[in-house]
Amino acid sequence: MAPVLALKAVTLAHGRRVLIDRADLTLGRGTLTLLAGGNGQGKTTLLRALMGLHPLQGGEIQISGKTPRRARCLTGYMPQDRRLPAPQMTGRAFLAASWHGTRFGLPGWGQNLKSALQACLALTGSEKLVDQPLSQLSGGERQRVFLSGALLDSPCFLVLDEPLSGMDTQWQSEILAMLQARCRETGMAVLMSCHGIEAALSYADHVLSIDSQKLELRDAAL
Amino acid sequence: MLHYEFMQNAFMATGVVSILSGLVGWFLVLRGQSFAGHALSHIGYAGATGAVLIGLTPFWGMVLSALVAALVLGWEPQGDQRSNAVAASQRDSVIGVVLAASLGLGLLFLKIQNVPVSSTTALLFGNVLGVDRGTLRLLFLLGGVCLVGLCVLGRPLLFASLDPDLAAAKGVGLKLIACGFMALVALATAICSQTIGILLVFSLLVGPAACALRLGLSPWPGLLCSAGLALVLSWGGLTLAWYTGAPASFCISAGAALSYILVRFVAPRAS
Repeated sequence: MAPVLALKAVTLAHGRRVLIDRADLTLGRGTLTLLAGGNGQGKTTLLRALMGLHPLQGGEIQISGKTPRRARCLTGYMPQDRRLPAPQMTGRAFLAASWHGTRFGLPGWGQNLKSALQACLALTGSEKLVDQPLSQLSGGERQRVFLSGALLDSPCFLVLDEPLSGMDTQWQSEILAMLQARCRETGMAVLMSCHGIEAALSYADHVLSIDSQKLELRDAAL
Repeated sequence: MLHYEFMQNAFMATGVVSILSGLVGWFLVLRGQSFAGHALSHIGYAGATGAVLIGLTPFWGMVLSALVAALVLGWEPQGDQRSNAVAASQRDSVIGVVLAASLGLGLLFLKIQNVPVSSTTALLFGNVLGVDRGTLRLLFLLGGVCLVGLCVLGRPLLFASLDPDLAAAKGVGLKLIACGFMALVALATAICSQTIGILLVFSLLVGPAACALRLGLSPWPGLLCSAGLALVLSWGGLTLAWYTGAPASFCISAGAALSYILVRFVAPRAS
């Protein structure tokens, strides 16, 4: 079976600045990997490249044996920053819009959508948040709602950019425990960046570090 | 009132126009493109007046010129630019200049043709009581095309409008969606201007949609509210015009403005 994520001699740059130079990496199913690195080392750029949003200078990325663009339907994504043109809308409206949002046709509605949303909201404890306008939620609460959206349609690979920012420590632990359990139960792989990884280490399988243009994968227990 | 054929035509024409403008307008306001859409009607004015010079009808001139402008606007850098004040200002400046130049061009075309002032007035302010059966059939046909287009684009358009960054990450073609949507706006603008006129088109495109969004309604209720309010405003405006003798376009645009003021008092938003 193809690994969930495979990088072969990948080089990433921002303008003339090389962030990652000819890196190889393989991540298997059911693993939770923390992405660590200082500011400006290329964490967000790497995660964007996995979604096909940042061009590669060289090399190849495969997600479940497909190119990032072809694997988008298999990948859940939570960007670090996102524009919110209509923050007066409820979280439910945002999540409903993203459900099969790439298909042509009328916006989603009905029981199937309701059931899919309910299942994801329960995972992040966002049931009571999702019917409030996003503008009235705190940063951490919004993150939980958006994480529910990333989990919609049960992706096989979850790419999360700073998903824990703004959350209090109790919710950070609960979200990490939930992600770890999802990895074990469903075989989903998670790659997430976060600052202050010490608190998250006990939930993770691997730590992927970016340092001096190199990627280094190590066991989280070490 | 409804015994007269011209009033029956007027009610049917404004019915089509209202439902269409309520739905298209909801997306237009949601995407923060009201001003860009407004420019389309002015560019359409230049097209309508210029069309006669090359042997086309003013309506088709308006449709074609607005469609070309819509594709150019849709190809602009994507995403909501309200978070970037400089980019938004530059874009608005360009739209403002093009909008004013289009009006001037329309005036020049009229001067060349030496047509009476009443023709200009009809184009700018509409003549809903003058809609005949032929025009009505055209409105139904193009309104139908526009609604089908909206039904096809609806889901990715909503996704791209509410969450453009995630939509791009999931593979929604933002440029394609933007061009397609602006083409629908161009078509809707041309259809609306047949009844309410170029200058007052946005009473129906923006007014009801702004009310629905101000109320914080979710997409489906918001779309229905916007279309319903547009219908109430246009039919109410026609009825008021019948009994008072005031211009129908005035009654409709005044109703739209009053509705928005009322909603602002009822639902002061905290975002």
